[in-house]
Amino acid sequence: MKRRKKNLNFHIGLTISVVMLIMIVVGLFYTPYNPEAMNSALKNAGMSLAHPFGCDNFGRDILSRIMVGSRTTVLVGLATVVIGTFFGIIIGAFTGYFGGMADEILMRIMDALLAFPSILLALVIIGLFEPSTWNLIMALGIAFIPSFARIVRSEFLRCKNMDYVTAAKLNGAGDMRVMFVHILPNTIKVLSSSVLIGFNNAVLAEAGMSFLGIGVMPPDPSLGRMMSEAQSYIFSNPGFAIFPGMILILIILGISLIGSYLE
Amino acid sequence: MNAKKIIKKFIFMLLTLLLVSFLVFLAFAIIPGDPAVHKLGTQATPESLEALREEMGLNRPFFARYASWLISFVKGDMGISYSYNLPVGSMILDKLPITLTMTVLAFMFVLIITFPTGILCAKHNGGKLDRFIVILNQIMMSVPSFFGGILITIIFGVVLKLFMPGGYISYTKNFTKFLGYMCFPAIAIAIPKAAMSIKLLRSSILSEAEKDYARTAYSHGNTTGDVLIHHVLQNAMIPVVTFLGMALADIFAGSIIIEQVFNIPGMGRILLSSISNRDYPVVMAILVLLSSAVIIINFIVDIVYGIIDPRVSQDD
Repeated sequence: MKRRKKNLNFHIGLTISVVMLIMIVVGLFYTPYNPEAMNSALKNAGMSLAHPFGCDNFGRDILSRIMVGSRTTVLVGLATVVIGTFFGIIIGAFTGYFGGMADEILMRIMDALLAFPSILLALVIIGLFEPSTWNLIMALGIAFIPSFARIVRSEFLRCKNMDYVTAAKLNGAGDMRVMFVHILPNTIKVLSSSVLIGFNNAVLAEAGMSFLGIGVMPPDPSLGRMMSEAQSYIFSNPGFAIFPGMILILIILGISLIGSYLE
Repeated sequence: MNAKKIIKKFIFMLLTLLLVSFLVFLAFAIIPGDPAVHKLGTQATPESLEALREEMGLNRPFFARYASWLISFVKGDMGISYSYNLPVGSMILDKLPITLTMTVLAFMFVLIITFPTGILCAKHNGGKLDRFIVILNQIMMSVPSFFGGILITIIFGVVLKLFMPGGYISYTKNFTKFLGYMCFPAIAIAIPKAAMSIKLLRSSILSEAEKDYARTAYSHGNTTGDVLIHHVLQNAMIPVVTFLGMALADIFAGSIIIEQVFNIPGMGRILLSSISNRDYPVVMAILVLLSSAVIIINFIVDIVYGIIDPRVSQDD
């Protein structure tokens, strides 16, 4: 019973994610309209057959902008997770495996960094530099390193005294080989579900930052940016805010359903 | 939890606070840009720059600057805002009631929603109501708070006209109306957090309810509700308390975004404007305050955790 329910969750999550992915991939080659093309006759136009999600305050087709905008959102999320996981694995692996003074100091710094909510940390990093898509990715990536490092470290601590590690060492494997060839693959299970959670948090953070106007910069559409532009038009054109928000929810929902299956 | 352990944790908390303040100071000390140049703008001459640098203490060694900054910070003197020329402390003190009210309201909503719903779900485990709430929960967890805020504005503000969108009323003008307005952003923040804690509470109650002591309580003739509330809940709450502590910190920081949706001039508003104006004393002060709040909340959660679960203090 329990297993079947979990499988159902997984299938629903996978279906949603695949549909979103198809939408994004199709958006690479084809959008119903040019996402940047303005049309003053269609300002804040409602839903119609020609424009299923309506048009925004410049008369741009919302569906086309969502297709391109969710690509930006998902790419920022992916890049963030890649940076966070990569440095998280390196820091976590070395501190967990070797321990000692460096481990103590690094982990105290990680603890201190974790005290900043990640969006706050990213806000400051952006504040120190200029708002742009690349700086956003870097800021979020750095903000996500501590949590990944902690997870990887605790996994390495758990594994480093296990029999298979001792066996590998007796076989003459060096520290590097033990760490990255023998231990790392055994952390995949824990790591993959935290990567999915991290991806969702990164997507949320990107949307939040772009919503505040310090993430993805115009004219690039991103889901958060669209919602922030839509805020002034919630009386006349509620769909402008609702549709990007719904797509954002679907992206997050799909991934979190897959994630809850992996747990 | 004995006093020795609490003192140890307390000292540890102080050390973390110190480290956080150091990291913030370091980050703002190494960034390019000279505050003296920024303050004088185009009127700067080499002599006036040098004088101002001396006056602002920028020529002193790094650690001396850090120490004096930290000491005056703890005393409540957080420096002078570059762009408003006002003491940072009073600027923040003005806005703190707004952000705090929103945080407290949101946290109350989370508690009010979580416990009855979580217990109800566990009681009717597998039933129609339970399944409906589980599905609803999964969706609610995926709603970003700012989008929740937009939806609430559309539904309650534009359609039902329960409040005026963007019509924030200052707490000094009319406190009741202020509270009424703050309820809407608070609900927007509370929804995803409540959904996560309901999920946690439900599964925690269900796994506790299978244990022997719960079965004994049943065999004594207690009803399901009795067993869950009087016997199981106390144990089942333990993981939820940890989560709620983290959620409280998250809510506090997350209010920055939701303030933009509801046009509320709180801490988030000054943080954003000082970031874009490069008004570093304000940014530093807010950062240190927010992260200190998070650290102190975590410390309190740790202590509470030890009180409701005596096993924790025996373990380590």
